[in-house]
Amino acid sequence: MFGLFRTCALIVVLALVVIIGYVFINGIGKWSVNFFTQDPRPDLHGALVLGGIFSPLIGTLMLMLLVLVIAIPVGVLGALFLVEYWGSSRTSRAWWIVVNNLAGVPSIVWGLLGVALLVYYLQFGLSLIAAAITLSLLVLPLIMVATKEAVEAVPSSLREASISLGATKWQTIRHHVLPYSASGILTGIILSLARAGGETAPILVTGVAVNAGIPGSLSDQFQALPYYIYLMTQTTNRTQAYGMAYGAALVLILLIIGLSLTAIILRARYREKYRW
Amino acid sequence: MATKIGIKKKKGLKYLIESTVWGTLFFCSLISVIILLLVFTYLIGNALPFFSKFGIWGFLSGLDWNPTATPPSFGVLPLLMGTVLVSFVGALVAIPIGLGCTIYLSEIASPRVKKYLKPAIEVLAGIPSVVYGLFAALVLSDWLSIVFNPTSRLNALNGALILAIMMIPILVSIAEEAMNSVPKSLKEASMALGANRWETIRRTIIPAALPGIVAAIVLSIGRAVGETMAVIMATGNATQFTTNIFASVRTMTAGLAIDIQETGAGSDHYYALFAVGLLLFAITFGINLIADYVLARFKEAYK
Amino acid sequence: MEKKNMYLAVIAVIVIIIAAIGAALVLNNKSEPQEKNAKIVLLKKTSSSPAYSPLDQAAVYNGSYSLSRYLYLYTDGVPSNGSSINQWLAFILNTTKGQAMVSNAGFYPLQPSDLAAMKAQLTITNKTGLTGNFKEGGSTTMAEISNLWSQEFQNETGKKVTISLGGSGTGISNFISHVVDVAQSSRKMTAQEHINAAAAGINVTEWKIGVDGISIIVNHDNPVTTLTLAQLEGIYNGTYTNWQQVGGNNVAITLFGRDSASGTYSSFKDLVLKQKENYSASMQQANSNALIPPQVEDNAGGIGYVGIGFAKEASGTASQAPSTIIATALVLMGKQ
Repeated sequence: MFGLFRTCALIVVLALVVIIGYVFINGIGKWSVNFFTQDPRPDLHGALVLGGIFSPLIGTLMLMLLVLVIAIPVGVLGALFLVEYWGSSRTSRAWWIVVNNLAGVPSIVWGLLGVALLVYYLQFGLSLIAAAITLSLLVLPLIMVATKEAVEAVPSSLREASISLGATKWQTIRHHVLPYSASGILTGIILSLARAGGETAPILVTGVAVNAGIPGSLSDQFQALPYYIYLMTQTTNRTQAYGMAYGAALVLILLIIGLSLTAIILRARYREKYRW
Repeated sequence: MATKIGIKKKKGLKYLIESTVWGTLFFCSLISVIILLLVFTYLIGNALPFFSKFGIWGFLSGLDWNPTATPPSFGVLPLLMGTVLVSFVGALVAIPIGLGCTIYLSEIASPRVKKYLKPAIEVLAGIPSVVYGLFAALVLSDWLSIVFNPTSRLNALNGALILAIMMIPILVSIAEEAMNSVPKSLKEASMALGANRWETIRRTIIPAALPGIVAAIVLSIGRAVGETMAVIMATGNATQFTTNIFASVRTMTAGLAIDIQETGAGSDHYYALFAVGLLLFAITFGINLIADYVLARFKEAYK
Repeated sequence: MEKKNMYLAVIAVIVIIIAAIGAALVLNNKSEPQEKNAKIVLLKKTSSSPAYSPLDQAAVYNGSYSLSRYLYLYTDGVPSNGSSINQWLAFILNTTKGQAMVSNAGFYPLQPSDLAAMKAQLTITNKTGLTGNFKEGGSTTMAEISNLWSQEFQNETGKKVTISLGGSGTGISNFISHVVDVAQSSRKMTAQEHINAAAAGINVTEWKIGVDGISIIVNHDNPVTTLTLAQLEGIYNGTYTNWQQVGGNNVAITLFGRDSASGTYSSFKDLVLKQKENYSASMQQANSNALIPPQVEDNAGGIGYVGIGFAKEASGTASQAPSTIIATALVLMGKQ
């Protein structure tokens, strides 16, 4: 009986091993200095399979940076306000149910909204900023929920003690609530950035281009690793293209898993440190 | 207003700082509230012109999705069926394997194995969907064509299986948390009464953790329904209404991704896409609400 | 204790990757069978007409090959001399540069008369053009051609032309919405699109930049070598479902085509699906031309339609050397 369950776990591990293994084996051979420092270049017939992944890599990093700048302040500070100053009431509980469920909205629906609102209505066109704002919308619920849970985990006794000793609300937050919830908030931020970096559908429709270099301004189009991988499955010269796809996939996986692992380690570390 | 929320009305620098902070935070929260409410208004607002012109019933029951034909037909059933087919078959595969893995992880595995297995599953959850799509398009489809010899190499089963792999990590992490929350006293009482480990799991722990397990299943299905890139690359994207898992299908998410780019603002096709988006939003929102409700009742039971 | 968790997590991932290498090595030991090339099908207008191949350049030029078409660019007016788009068009209409690249990608350059007409159109400027970089988007048939163009154009002038895909319909729609400056399209703009563009204040100017013969490809093991237009129509509108019905083996027909945003989708529909004007709902719709050949190669009953450049690559008849000035001149003189 237990062997059955052990087999299930084994199947799951096997799936992970096979997928990462395939990407690793087929992708590592493409890694070279040129792979990381050259932009994608067309071959003799026009297939964009030569060169490397420099502009897609930078594009992905720029997107993540923009999401950091746009979504984090609004999300973290906004959630902080809602938890600390709004308090608990039926409206606030309903509000958090809404936010929680917005976190589950499919990424393509955010893409649809991004196109309608940013590309057409606000006339940003196909651009880095349109894609960055769309991704920020996508991660906003995630960051707010993570902040809320981190801040709510701090026991109210700490706050009450601080206020009773004469501190103001902001002093309480700054010196007592934030330090203890900082790691939870940071974990949420890192996981949201990882999520934003791996998304393809929203950027597909809001501004990614086939041959973009490093964007010079926010209204330029850009390349990104997920799109590059997708593009490499739809080009001639397939042998070369598929190899490049795996190579880029390996980079993307390592980037995202690196971020996720950092978040996990942070969370485990601080959970140990701050036991009430 | 300021006194109600607890800012002491002192004069001087302290008050200034307090009010500034309050103002900044309030502003940020206002932005976040407005943005998230904007989602609803935009979706519903842009879907309404479509519904008023073509009718909800025709949309929900039409068997033909062909927006560029003359006359155009906007029946969402082929896309809806595509989503249902890949998610349902994916769930059929993911639920047994996921639950088995969960039971192993929470009850049977030694602490040493747990330390390696849990991060491994979180790693699986972190792989971006385009990489899963790459694997499904290039590798999994080949394996399936060797085993099943389907008429079409890219088909619903290919999509369903890759979705199953994507569903399992969510299922396992939530269900495992549920099983861990079952109070030890219940387990110990069961053992004390003479049950062996399997009987304890089957008759005590699983029923106690059932709401959490149900929530896990529901949320993982929500993930499957919302997935775009992996299914676009795996299922072939034919617009036919079919229940044959070896035939090519198109999911609602794929339909949106494919059609968004070519529609200009204001056309019928444009509003039709918002109708599909609204339906998709309603389904995933509903799924999450169900999971929330189940989990809330679960938390009540074990306060 | 926390440090231990961190190390264990890292070690766990390393162990997984090492195990992955081992597993993948085992799995990769099965040598992949060489994909057999797809075959290009000859087309004849009726069962008694002669059959033509899209590889026959003369047949594509004079229309004997039934699925010939032009490839287009659309701009807002004719931009002034020295502006970026004017330079771009001049580059594209140059026989040793842009037109040679059309050949490199496997398509056919413009015939001398068409080329002269386009060059003449370029001299009648009627709009102040932008300087600096600009955006182009649309057809996936022209994707590889425009990759070659933009790379060389940037080398020559330093200006960046950003190309996005999505199909001709997407390019035209974005062009009308002022989201891209130039549309690349493998079909003509429709009357309705012209109306929409005029309403948006755009002076639509059409540029022919190359010639394509939409090629029909089938699986390597398919014995069918020729199809009439009527048979092709029957296959793609779902009337025929088995290759036996058109002279092949007893294998179910698996249809591959482009999605509805595609110019190739529309061109094929206009040229072939005359009676029942809709494709069969079972046709798998690929997001770009290049996705179709691998599917046709992997499905025994597969049939697909693609631009000639992609068909050449799929059937192994693509040229291995870039076309030289001499070769291009020969082509233009009708000798090959």
